[in-house]
Amino acid sequence: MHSIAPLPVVVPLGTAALLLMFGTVLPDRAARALAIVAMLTETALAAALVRGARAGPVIYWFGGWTPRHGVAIGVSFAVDRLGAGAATFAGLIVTAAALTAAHSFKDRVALTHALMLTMLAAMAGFCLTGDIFNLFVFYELMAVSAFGLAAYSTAQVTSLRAALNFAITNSVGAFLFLIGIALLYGRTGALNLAQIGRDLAKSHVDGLVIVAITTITVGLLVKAAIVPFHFWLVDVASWGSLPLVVVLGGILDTLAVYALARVYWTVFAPALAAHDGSLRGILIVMGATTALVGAALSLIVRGARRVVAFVMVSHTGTLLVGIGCLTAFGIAGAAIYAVAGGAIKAAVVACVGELDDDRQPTRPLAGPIVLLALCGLALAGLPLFGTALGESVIERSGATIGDAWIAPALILASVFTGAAVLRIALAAARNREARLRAPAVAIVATMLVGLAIVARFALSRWVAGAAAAFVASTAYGRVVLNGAKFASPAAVRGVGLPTSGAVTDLIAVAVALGLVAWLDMLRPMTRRRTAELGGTTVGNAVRRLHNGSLGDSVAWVTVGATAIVVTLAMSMH
Amino acid sequence: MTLLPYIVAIWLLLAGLYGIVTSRNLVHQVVCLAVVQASTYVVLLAIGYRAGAAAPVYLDIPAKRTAVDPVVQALSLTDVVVGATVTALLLAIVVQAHKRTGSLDPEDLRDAY
Repeated sequence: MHSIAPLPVVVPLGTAALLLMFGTVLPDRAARALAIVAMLTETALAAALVRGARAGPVIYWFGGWTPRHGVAIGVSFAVDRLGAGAATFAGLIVTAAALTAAHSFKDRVALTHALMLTMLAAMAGFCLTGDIFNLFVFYELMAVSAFGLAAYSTAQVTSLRAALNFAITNSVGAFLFLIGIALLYGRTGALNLAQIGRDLAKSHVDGLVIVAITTITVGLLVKAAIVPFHFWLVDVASWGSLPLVVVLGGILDTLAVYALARVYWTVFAPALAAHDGSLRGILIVMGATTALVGAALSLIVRGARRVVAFVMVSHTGTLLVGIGCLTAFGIAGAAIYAVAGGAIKAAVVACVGELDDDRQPTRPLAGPIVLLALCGLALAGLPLFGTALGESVIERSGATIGDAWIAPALILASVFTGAAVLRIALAAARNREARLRAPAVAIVATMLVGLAIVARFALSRWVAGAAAAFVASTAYGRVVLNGAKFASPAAVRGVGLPTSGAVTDLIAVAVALGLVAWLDMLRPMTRRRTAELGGTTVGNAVRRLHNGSLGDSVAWVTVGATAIVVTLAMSMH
Repeated sequence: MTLLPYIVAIWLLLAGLYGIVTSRNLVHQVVCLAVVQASTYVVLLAIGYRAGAAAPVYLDIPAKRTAVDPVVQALSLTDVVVGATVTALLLAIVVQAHKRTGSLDPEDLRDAY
């Protein structure tokens, strides 16, 4: 099992190199098939690691540089069940994106698929690594591949603008993250996550550690597109190439939240233990704000892809609330929500991107409309889907730490995002020309919606135990640094998930449907006017704010970062 | 340990951010991003610096001699590679934008739909 740990990175990276070498002589079909086979192989390898890590993290030291006397010398992969699960899910989403890419990436097939493979390799490495600088480098590899894919349609100014905004804002976030890593290295002389955590716990939390925590948190929140850092995401989701947006909605922005949880639990949790309250407060408040703002704007903006962009923003906010609870159950809920919600968002993007084909008027096909409607119901919280389960687990963990207001806030957000997607489905049903160009898209979208249902039942059995293992910092450190056996009673015993009843969820779905009907009476959805509500003052103000100005985006990063730094420094001192 | 490199790093970070926010030229904006990144080089090298220490190459210096930290130098090098990639990619996008709009002013990209 240990020997296969690096393979989820090696296989896609090697295949990308092959595609670049032979791309000019390979027929497009062969290049596409090779890429998809590599993606599925990565998925299978990562799934094998999920199984292999059930008794504790699988540790792999590159070059055999194992720790000496409990001090890490080399670079390691430390694979736990949640990390391997994230790598598996990344494989599924990137495969789905590649399957729907036939219409978007018509030429340069080998090059675009090579970029998708480097992105997948980076995601896998990101999920499996046990080293903080490795985490940064994999993040940058993932981001640079994504920047390139975002700028694929060089004929469109909007697409270029989105890519510029994406690259510059994310790079600023990455540099903040790197400064935090450098400060931690300066304090502990270590880059291994477990080693930093162990060394930090030895001394008290001082100014330097607080600065490191804030720069790392802000850097990752920028990449997670949390309000007010979300402008790049709205631009990319509206104008970037479709397969990239499938990946972005499916997993890419989720991974930043995953990294925040990983770094918190391995590095900061042992040291902070007593005063993690202020960090928890900031994360939960920012997450809930993002969930609500994104959800409200998804009902207001015009254009189906823009609606989806704000649904993505809202979802990452809900995930941040789950992670921000800083409890195992919060992480378990976020994991279920990330998989089910990610699959649903990817399905919505795939359907929306393929719906508007004006060239071949024909009768509307039921397929995409039904799919979109199902996605809308899933987002609103129909108990059949994993989104409802994940959300209710997050709400319950919020209540456990004494924040009962989280439940109504998240339910409101899910009602709004569900209604927004249902309105897209309504517009598609009224659009006589709506049809899916490629049957592949319909099949992939159906499978993604199915995945959201499967996640509900498959994940709920093991995710609580995996989350308990995820937060067992001390046990993790002993496995990584001392080669001990993993000892975490909760993780081994397995724990049930706290959930709330299905009645609330059903009421939420009913409210979402009512909201759609009411909005439709106010302003009927037509073909030309997809999901436009506030063409008036509010709508215009929102549009002006999100007009893709790069300077504005970075200005908001600066303002938000300053606010977080000041709040954390004041409350932790 | 002196505070000077950290003050320089904060200065570079803020100057670069100010440049990105206010710039009216895309190439200038990309260079400002490189300035922000320069702050990370300064932080990294400052952390690994030891006063009076030699370069960490033990071929021609005695094994007991103090050397500066080679790990941060490796980190900086990786950081430079990341920076070069991002800058090259951004400049390529800027060239394309100039081809489409005939302008390098970010305002001209702004309201395009």
